Amino acid sequence: MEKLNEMHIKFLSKSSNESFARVTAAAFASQMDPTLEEITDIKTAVSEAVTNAIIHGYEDKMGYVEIGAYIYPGKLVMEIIDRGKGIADIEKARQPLYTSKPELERSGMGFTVMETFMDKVEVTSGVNQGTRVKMIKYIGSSTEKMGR
Amino acid sequence: MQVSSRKRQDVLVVSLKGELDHHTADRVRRYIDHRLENPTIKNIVMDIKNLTFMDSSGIGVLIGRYKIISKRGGKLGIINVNSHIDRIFQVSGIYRIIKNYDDLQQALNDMGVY
Ligand SMILES: Nc1ncnc2c1ncn2[C@@H]1O[C@H](COP(=O)(O)OP(=O)(O)OP(=O)(O)O)[C@@H](O)[C@H]1O
Ligand SMILES: [Mg+2]
Repeated sequence: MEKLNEMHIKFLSKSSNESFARVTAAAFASQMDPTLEEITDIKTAVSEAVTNAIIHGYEDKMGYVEIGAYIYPGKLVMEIIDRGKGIADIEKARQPLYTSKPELERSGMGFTVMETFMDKVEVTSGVNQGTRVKMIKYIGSSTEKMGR
Repeated sequence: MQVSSRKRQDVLVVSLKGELDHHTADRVRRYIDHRLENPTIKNIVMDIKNLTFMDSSGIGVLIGRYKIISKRGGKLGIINVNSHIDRIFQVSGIYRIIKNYDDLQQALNDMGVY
């Protein structure tokens, strides 16, 4: 499939960048003519992945979070990458209600929310190497919309 | 994020305005917990009419406040939930502990305020 557009951003793992990240991702995706609901879906999923990179990937340390976004006809791909502590057991981490930080009032619903609002969520991770969350969302179903 | 509240008998009605994420959750948490130092408050109603964004950080904030208020034998209710936030509440299973009321009057009545 022909790639129509691509963008990358990189920012420090500060919580104040969470809103910056989701708004930027949504603004980039808006060229696909998504519905308001699809925009909110993208914002929410990006917010979850970026927050995880900040609080779990880097914990109290500072590091860089990267977002890559790719637009194909009718298809948006978002990658959220950190070089933090990684996830030892991805299957367990993705289970609803599983959290390694209950003391911070986390509910263990982040991955479930990402799966709810995106069509596909892939996680790759290495302990002490970092985590990459790749999410796919299909925007608009009509072929007429494609390739715009 | 703007948080405000008012007291109706033993019910604290909290209104949230803006975006609730990990960055702003701390402020909301501290604001409500400070109000809850008043031991005459038994129930909470969260009015999220003007909450323009929420992710799973909001679930954590709600469950945390529920734990405090349920120890007092009280309830946590929520009003003015939009369809997007409703979906997050649905998948998280939070409606098992937090009730979604049609409006403030219904919530207050259910909490014994007339
Ligand atoms: N980028 C990451 N780096 C390291 N560990 C991660 C990362 N993302 C997720 N995890 C691990 O996966 C678990 C589940 O993540 P998930 O987002 O579902 O829940 P949570 O962040 O703990 O809680 P919530 O998102 O509901 O506030 C986390 O508790 C953490 O242990
Ligand atoms: Mg999370």
